[in-house]
Amino acid sequence: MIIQNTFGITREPFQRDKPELLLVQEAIMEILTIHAQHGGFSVIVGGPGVGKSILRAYIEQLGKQKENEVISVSQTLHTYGKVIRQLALSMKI
Amino acid sequence: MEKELIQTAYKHIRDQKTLYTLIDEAHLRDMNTLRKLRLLFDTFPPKHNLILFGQPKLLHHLAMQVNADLKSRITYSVNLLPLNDYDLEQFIQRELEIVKLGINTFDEGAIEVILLNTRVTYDCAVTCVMAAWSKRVGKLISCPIARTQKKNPDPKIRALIYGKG
Repeated sequence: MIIQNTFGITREPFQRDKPELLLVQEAIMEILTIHAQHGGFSVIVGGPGVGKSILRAYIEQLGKQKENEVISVSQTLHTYGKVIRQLALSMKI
Repeated sequence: MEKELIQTAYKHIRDQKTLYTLIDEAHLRDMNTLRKLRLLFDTFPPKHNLILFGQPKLLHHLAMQVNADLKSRITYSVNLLPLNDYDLEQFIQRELEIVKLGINTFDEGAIEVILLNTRVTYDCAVTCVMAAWSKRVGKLISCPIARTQKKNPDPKIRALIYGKG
């Protein structure tokens, strides 16, 4: 509340419900969008804490828009069959 | 199951949607699994982006000769790096501008203290909270204040950043 009162803002900062991107992430997002239009296979790597999860959360948010569909698999160490089932679940099949 | 996935993907494209498939922690997955997934997504409609997220060793795995077939299909790859000092300083200034605070809210020493650490997100959060405090009490944030708050944040500031829990 201190921050909200001081700055006169309505949204609580430091919340992850609507991730905001840094300039570097915005540039990456722009490229990912272009590749999505033409068919892409993208790899985003980075050490812990550099902002991969924020980027992923941002793309997941795009799935709420009418023009995008986002399928996300985050559980690890699974066989191909299990990943397919997770994909199907994510696609509501 | 795969056939249904492909059909659903085509349905989304017919509905004028762009498809994103995100695979997290890809460096922990078996390369053969990734290979099969890549082959599956080859049959997906073109308006689609398969995005693998992982740690840098994923690129090392992909660089191996045995995985050349996978690597050759990558259309875009990027290695995200932590913000450098210049970027971080720019970020702090941009945030200060947004909340209409002067860029001299932090003195030179305070900025140096903030840049001394790589825990970027946490530091930025502390920075913003300190800026709020600065505006409230009408003081500039000096080096000793910045150092104290970085080493041992005030419990109230900690609660603001991490929530009550």
